[in-house]
Amino acid sequence: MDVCETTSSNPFHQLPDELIHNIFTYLDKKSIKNFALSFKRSAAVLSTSTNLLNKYFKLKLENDFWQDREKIFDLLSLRRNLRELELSNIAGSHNVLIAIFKRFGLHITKLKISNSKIDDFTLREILRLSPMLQELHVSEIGIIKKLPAINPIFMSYLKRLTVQYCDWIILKFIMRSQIHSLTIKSYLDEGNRIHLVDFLSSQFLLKELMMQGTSIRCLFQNNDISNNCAYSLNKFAIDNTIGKNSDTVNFNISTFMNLHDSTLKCVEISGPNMEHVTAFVLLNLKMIQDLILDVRSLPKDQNFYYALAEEEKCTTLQNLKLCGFFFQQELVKSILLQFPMIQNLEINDWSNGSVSDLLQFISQNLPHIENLTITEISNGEDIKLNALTNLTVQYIRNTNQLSKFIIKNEKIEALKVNLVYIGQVKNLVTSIRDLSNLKYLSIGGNKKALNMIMNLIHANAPQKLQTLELSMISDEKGGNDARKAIKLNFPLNRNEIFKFNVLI
Amino acid sequence: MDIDRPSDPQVSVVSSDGTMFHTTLKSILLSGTIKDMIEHIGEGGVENMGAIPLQNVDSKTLEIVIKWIEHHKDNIQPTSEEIKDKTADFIDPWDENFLEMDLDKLYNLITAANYLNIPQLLWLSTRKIAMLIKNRTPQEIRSLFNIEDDWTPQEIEAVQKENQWCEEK
Repeated sequence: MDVCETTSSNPFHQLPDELIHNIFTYLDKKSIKNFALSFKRSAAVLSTSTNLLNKYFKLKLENDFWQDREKIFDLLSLRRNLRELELSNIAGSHNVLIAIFKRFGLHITKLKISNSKIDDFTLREILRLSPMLQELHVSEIGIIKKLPAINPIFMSYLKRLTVQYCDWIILKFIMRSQIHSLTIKSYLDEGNRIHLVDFLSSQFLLKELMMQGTSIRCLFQNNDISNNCAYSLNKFAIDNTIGKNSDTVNFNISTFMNLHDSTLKCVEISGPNMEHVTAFVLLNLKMIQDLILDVRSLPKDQNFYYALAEEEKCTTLQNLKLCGFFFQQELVKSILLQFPMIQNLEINDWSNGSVSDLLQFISQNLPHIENLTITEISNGEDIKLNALTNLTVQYIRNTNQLSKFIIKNEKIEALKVNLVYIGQVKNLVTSIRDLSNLKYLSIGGNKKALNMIMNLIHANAPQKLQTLELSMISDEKGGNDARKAIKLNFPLNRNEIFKFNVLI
Repeated sequence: MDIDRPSDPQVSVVSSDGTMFHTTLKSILLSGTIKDMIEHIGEGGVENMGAIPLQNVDSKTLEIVIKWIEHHKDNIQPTSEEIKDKTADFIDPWDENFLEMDLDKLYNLITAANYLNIPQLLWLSTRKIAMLIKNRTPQEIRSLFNIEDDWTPQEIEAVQKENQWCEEK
């Protein structure tokens, strides 16, 4: 060993670059910057790590940037290669944009363009200069037509496309690329519907289709979408918040899903007036694993429930989420009976009805439930769900009932109560102490309630508790600290207590 | 006879400065490097195998490493691939306590864990360094690790400029 300590023999410098890089990966954004600024070698490690740069940093060009010649010049002399580029309010000339993409385009994997007007020639050049692009998100883009005709470009890495309030001509540019995932968020005017239909019929690898708003109605007004379909979807999500679909549209959506019934694994239906589609999904899709029905109301037609009871049960479904006003629990039960193998169940009943009866039903008919999210628990004292390990309740109506339920279900490892009132704290914490398997506890409440919880748990924590998460819900309206949350690791040390004191 | 064979035979390792340590096969197999070596010899060879020389690890560090592998010999070890995705910041209190050591020892431990290919120990020890860096200014980081400030004002300005362009996600 060297006796004399020079900089080079500082053991820190003997750590290989790879390990310095490892250290970076455990840091947050601010610490990454500080560590990089502390000496040359760490800065060099950071600037060569595309992984780190991609994970935490992106290049964002907006508003005044486009007017500032000096800034544009600075940008073009930047040494780092970033993978993610965001452009908004583009007001630059064709030449500036082309210069930027000549400099950075080769490395970009994710590009977002929003709130801009751009001519089709420039747009095509930008895409052509970004051959590695994997994700493209366009929102509120007006495209000015300059080119006599559009020749589609083939982007071999493009996988994901999101289009929002945008000129549909964009789809013509990328028609030849084979994407995996398409999200359409915008209003689709009928004149341009053909671009979307053409685009979809040229896709062979599409796996995920997500649609929102009126675009659903526009796309499914005609059945041509199902006639030329070379792809098979794994995921289909529609979110229709406004208005009601016509019978034809509903019928076309059903036909479309039917086409993919052997591959569809994940289906999400959101919005009011989706009863027809909901009924179709429940009766016909037999291979799904994830189902979200955020539908306000369930089908009311009695005949549907008779038909459902006759159907073969769907044993592939593992995750089910139901949201809406479920005044009639019998309907919810008929649906649950269809999926005897569910492991994760979330029921968000906005009708504020009591779920006591439902809990009893679950314990008798759904033996594999591990994760349960439910509005609240009452009359749960004698109910035991054999596989239950994670429980989330929105609020507590009766602390005694909840306590009895969790004591009976002693396998619970994670418990989350989204809202606790101060009067309920003592009772709740006392019953939690008996949960010998509890590792994760999350509670939301006001400042006073959280303080009390901390004091009680600090004094006597459940044996195996590893994490306590506290979310503060401010009492005052419009308070700055409306929602703050911390995670504390157990057993508590000084640092953790300090973290808590900072929050409160 | 098989019945007489102990289920976890003794193995010896020798540090770079010539000190011999005894531990068990189960513990030493946590080291990917030694595991590869033993797999090369074949199972039967273990008993007749001499002490394993570890030229890159000194006796002080080896003692620490052995303490750790013996404590964890019955735990399932994550592979280096699994470690990459590791986000949970929960640390076994025993490990937390184990890592309370001065920086020189910690550096040596990191180098040894890297050489011996013990992903979990490498993760724990580098993460420990990261925890020390967190929430400190560049100046504080330099004095913590006793590193000289090697920037010229022009250079630091250039780096800061680069940072300005990198919008945080």
